[in-house]
Amino acid sequence: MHDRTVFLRFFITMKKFLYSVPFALLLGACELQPQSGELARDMVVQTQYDQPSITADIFSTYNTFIIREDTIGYVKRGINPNEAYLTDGNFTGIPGGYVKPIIALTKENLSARGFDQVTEEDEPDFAVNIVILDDFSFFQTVNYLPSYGGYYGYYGYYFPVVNTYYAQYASMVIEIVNVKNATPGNYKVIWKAFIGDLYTTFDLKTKTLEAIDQAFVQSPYISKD
Amino acid sequence: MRVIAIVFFVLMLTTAQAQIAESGFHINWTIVKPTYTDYVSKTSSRGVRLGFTKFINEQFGAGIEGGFNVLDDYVPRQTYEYPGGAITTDIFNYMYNYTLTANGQYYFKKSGLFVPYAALHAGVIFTEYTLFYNAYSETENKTGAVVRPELGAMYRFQTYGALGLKAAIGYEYATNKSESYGIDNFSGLNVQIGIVLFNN
Repeated sequence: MHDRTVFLRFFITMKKFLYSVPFALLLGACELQPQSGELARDMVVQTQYDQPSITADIFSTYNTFIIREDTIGYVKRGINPNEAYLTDGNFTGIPGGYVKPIIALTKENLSARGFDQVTEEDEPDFAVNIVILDDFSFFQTVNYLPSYGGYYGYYGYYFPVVNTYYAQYASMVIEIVNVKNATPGNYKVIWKAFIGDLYTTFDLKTKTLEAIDQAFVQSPYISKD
Repeated sequence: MRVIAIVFFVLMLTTAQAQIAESGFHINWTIVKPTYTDYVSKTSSRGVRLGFTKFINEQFGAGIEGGFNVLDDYVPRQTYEYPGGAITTDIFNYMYNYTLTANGQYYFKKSGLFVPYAALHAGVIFTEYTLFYNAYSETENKTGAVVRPELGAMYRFQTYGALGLKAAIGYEYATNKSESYGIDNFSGLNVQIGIVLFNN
């Protein structure tokens, strides 16, 4: 009889205990990841360069560059290649636009490093390509996407764009492509900057512009001097 | 022979009555303060431990325990250079530890409601090192051994009562390390507070 009483008491207490387990687990499980607001405070800026070119101080041999004035590339799986670009008409909700300020700031940084913008006819030393990759991963290998060449080509050359293996993010890629020392069909990307994520930021324009400046700050070798 | 049997029976009864209980379950809220602080340095209160103890006699017990805790730290935005490039970001370092240990316990008091004890836990630890930066993350998993000497006390509210409290402090040392992130063996102090369900 005594054993039965003890067992019943144990069982009743166990039930109360089991009710408390979810609370304890909840306590232990709270904040298992950073808050999204904290994560999106600043964009990630990654830059990569072609080591032989930088070792050879290739930028000191450059004077001029070419860049598209009003459009940036837009790559998304399944998109019509003829629509693979963006203008400020795609960002009507952003005061002052988004595309032109990005291009202007890129040009400003290059001018500050001693390079002059010219047209295609002036035979620039390097080309600058800005692309937004939508639903594309951040860290990937570079591949060619000839199907997008209708927009991305200069001199019949199709710029390399980042290939995907994992879709989730939107990143901006700025590329500097060697034109001066290139042989036909062999244009080398000597510098690229990845900026992201464009989806999760709370201030797309300001944070993108800050990130573009940062890309140049962490690339002091992009300089005529 | 009969006398020996009677003495043995009496001793068994005495032992059975004196030991804390037959067994017990516990659930503890765990606070961890890392003593190896290269990856995570903040004290974390996000941890829980569940365990079972078999009280062998009035002075010794043995048990198993499963635990989980998460530690984190924030690395402000800075630029990291590497051959061929650089990356600028702030980083949230997270460390998720899952442990499964066996333990031996020694009780300093042979009777009473308040029972201080010393224990030594040893087992396996599975650690997930995760770096969060902006929308991105990367993870490395490592499995190793863990040991944890522990000093604590149990308090049973009533003789033969099912419910009790448990509190302990311990030092944990794990062999896990991450070469790719440059993280050495984890160690930390921990404090546990919880409830015990005794089974007579």
